[in-house]
Amino acid sequence: MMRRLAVPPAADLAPNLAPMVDVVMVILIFFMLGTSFALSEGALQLQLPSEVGPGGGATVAVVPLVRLTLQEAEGGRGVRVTVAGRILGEGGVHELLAFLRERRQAGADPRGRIVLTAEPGVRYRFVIAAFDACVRAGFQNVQFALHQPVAAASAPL
Amino acid sequence: MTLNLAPMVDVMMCLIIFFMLASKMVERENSVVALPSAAAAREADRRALGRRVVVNVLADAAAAAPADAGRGPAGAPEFARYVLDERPVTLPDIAGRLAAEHARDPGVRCVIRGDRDLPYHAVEAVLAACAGAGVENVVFAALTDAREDR
Repeated sequence: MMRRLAVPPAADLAPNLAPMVDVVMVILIFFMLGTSFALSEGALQLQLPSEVGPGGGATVAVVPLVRLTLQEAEGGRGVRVTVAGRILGEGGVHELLAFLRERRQAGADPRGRIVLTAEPGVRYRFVIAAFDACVRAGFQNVQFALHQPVAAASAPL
Repeated sequence: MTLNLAPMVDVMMCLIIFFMLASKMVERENSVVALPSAAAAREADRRALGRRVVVNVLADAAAAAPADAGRGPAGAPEFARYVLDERPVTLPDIAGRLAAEHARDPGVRCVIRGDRDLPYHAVEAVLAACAGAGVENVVFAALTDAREDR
């Protein structure tokens, strides 16, 4: 006598969602972690003057449009911005941005050279904030004055 | 009753893909650095950066540990250590590497990834090394989030 194959009832034919849920969870975790890895790291480009070549270190005479100086303030927690010897209030880099934007609106050449000098103890974040302010105000030619001697390097690592 | 292996295989495949992609995202040249913020910083396209030397300037907690001697007045680190390709290096090492890369490709860039709380002289030393090696293209890595350092 032939045996008939048992046909499962319709209720048992429902799709198994467990694999899909597993995969979706893993993808979710992937994107959560992936977005934190890619934490919007950007780049601020700087072009060093070509006068400073290998074996350079010669002092380069420049006539800047604006000469900025950053000094430590509030015991290192803040920064004091000086423009051509004049202190820019207590607003730090905020006031610098406003000042530079005013200069741009007054017709300052965006290719004009801005020379940025920072005291050695000024926190790096303030230096980047000042550089950022220059770029945001539309000035393209920002240069850093160095306190440290520039020595010729020749020995490969 | 058989064990259903399909979900496990699915999950394993996803995990493999995840780790393959994640390991590419976290490139070896980048150390974990608390970068400063800059609204004007543009997203770094690594291919557009071309040939580059990535110098990581980290706050040296070990040097600052004894009696907190290496902390500045604001409790910020005073000492830096430099890392190139996951290896601790000295400033002369960096200068030598930059000179070698510049000899190979004059258009090489130096990407500086500095800790936001370090004193500027730690980063300025790298700029001086760039100038000494003739590397004119310098890139400061910065976060492009909304936080501002004022």
